[in-house]
Amino acid sequence: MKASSKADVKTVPVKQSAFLKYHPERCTGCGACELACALYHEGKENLALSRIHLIYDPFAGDHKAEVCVQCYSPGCYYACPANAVQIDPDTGARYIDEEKCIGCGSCERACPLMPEKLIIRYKIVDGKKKYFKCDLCRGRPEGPACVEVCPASALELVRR
Amino acid sequence: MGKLYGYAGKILRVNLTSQKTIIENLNEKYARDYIGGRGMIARIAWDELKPGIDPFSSDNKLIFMTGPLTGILSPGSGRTALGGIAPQVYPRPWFTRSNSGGRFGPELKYCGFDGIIIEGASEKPVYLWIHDERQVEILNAENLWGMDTFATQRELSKIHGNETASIAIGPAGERLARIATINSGSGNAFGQGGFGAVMGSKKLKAIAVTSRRNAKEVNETGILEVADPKRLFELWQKTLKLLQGGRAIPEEHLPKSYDGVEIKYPRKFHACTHACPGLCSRGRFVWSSFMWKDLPSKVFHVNESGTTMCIGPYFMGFETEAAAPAHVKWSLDFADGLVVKNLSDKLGINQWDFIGGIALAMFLCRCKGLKTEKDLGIDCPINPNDPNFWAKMLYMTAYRQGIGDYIAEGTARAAEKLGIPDELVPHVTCGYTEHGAGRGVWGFFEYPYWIVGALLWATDNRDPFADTGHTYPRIVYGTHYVGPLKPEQLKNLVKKLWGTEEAVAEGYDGKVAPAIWMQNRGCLTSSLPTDDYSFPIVASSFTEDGFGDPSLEAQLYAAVTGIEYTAEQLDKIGERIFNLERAIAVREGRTRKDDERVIPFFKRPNWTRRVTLDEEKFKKLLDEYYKARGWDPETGWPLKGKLIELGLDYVANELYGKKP
Repeated sequence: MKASSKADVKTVPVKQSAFLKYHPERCTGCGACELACALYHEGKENLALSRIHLIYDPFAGDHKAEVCVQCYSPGCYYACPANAVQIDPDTGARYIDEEKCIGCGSCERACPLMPEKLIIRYKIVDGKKKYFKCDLCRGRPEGPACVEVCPASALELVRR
Repeated sequence: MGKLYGYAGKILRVNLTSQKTIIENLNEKYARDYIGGRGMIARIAWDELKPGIDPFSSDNKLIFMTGPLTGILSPGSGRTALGGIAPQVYPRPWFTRSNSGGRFGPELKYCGFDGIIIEGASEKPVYLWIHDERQVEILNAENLWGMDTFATQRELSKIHGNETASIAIGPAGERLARIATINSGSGNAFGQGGFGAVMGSKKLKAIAVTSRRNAKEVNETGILEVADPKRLFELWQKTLKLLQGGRAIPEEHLPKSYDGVEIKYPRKFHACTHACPGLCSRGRFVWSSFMWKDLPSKVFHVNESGTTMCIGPYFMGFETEAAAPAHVKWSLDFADGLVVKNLSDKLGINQWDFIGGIALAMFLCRCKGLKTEKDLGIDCPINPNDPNFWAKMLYMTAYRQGIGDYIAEGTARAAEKLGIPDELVPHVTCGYTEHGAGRGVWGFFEYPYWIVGALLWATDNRDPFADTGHTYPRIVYGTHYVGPLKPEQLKNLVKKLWGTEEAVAEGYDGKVAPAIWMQNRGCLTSSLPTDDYSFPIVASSFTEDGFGDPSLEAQLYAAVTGIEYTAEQLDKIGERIFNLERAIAVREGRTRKDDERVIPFFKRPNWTRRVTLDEEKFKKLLDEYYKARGWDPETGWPLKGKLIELGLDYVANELYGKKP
């Protein structure tokens, strides 16, 4: 691939994205967001399949949620050599097209929040690595599943 | 038979004597017939826990079991059941169960196991570490022995990673206190039964589970398949709607004050069960199910954080809206109270037995002038308003110092040793203390409601109100999610549920149907599992007719496992489980006589209207109960026909001999 053709794609202005706002003071730590995330995206349940991560610390009296902030300038998008990281035209979510993903891990290494926070991880599909991250439930008419199931309104989709 | 969804598919069997672990396939027939959790435990116990096993011997087993809904987006599904021979039971230990919320069960399933069976006993302290793809290791716990449950869990998280979910025993369990708990997190516990002491007798300090939730690579093990994800989403929304009208804004529901005093400390609603669908304390309880952060305790000079749920917050204060005798009221500063509550969790002491049992007994005793501090051997005033009194008693109990040596044996046994008169001890029957009986911490529970309570207490093999009896008080008093029902609404509801308005009316009529219904539902609740504090959802403020949807459990079961049952068919499984548990008790020698041991307790006047149990009428009620159950009214044994009807042929054969 020539450098020029690649530049054509990446110099297009990136649409600002909606993002998930987390209200720790409301969060009950029930984990429904994680369960809903895995269930919606994979149709199966395991917290390892969730794109949002709840950090429990019952001893510190706090919960935290880690989820992609949908960066204004998304490192994953610029780093991907296969154009697998794309911008959703509706919400602006930075999502990974599983078909195009070549499993190189450039996105994960480019992510400014990793490795401290688990924003991008991979699964093995037919022997190949396929990366996945929060896509704000692209194409889901009701909006992000985690927002919809949260009993305490601790998650909110903020559009920009 | 179609594919069985929802289960992880394997059971881990650990023999601590030989230090060997075996991974067994989940018995699919058991799974279909007994669902999981409490039901599976009863089935396994029938095979493996024969009568006459001493709770502290290496023959006793600890059977931890999750259900098909655990770890899945099913409301309140994150519970784990536990069964074994329970040392707390009085006068002779028998098979019973316990149950805990927290993250342990779900994480266990994500590691590929539906349950764990612990057998034998180790010579040296060990802990079990389960991780990644069904990797199991028995590791040395000599460094952990002696630590409290919080420190143990933190240490295990330090060793095995932050995502580790663990259960652990504290000093009370190590010293075989019959009221020792197995704790998880800062408020969850397998509380009742004294199973912490069983773990202690096996020298098993903790079980740590590290799933791959924080791993970058996702692999196949422990990925739980769901039959109908779309339907599950719809059911989740439906549950939210029924419980709280959809998504709630917590700050609108936080109670601002208690007894006229402003609650000044930072707190937020806390889910005590994984996948809990609601704000439990909304509008009703002031302190249950909260997470507190950095409460400055002036007495103990610490900033304390932690979670409170269920009975634990009673350390902060105790006062029922009804007529609690003045001498058993107390209130502590919440910060000091939280320290005391955390201390009991750290030491691993059963708060139901401690607060609701021996502590109440001592306060009553002192106020009546029957025993002084000196008689009881306590070197400080018995003063429930003093946090240091509580702390001292807890330490003495956990380390078996002085009077604590008796208290560690449980309220029933301790009261005997301390010479506290029976009528002051809130011990109902079989070693469990007052709960839903109108005469102790549940003193607000009025006549005639506690008659149903008495039936449940008589026929269960433990305190029935932790996993069975919540529905009835929720109906008669209203709940966190539905305010008090209007008289007309209440009548319609109980008529619809149990066929007779008398179920909530004065007198002894019509009390059998709610008892049996709740028992069968209770079996389902801890087998599926769902959270018994919300389920079955019988009433709702957010439907036009005020009814909830008691068939929700069947719908959730179908969406997860792919097995379509009606609510009645599922109730039949509940009935099967309850009868199997009864059969286990019968095999251990239980008869109607044991059931009637509740009578003296209920013959004490209750706390609100000073009503006592009418023995004659109650015995008739028991007759009626046995008949409705298909049990022999003379002996209390399930009749052969009933057992065969429920598919318990193997039980019938063993109880009644092989001949037809």
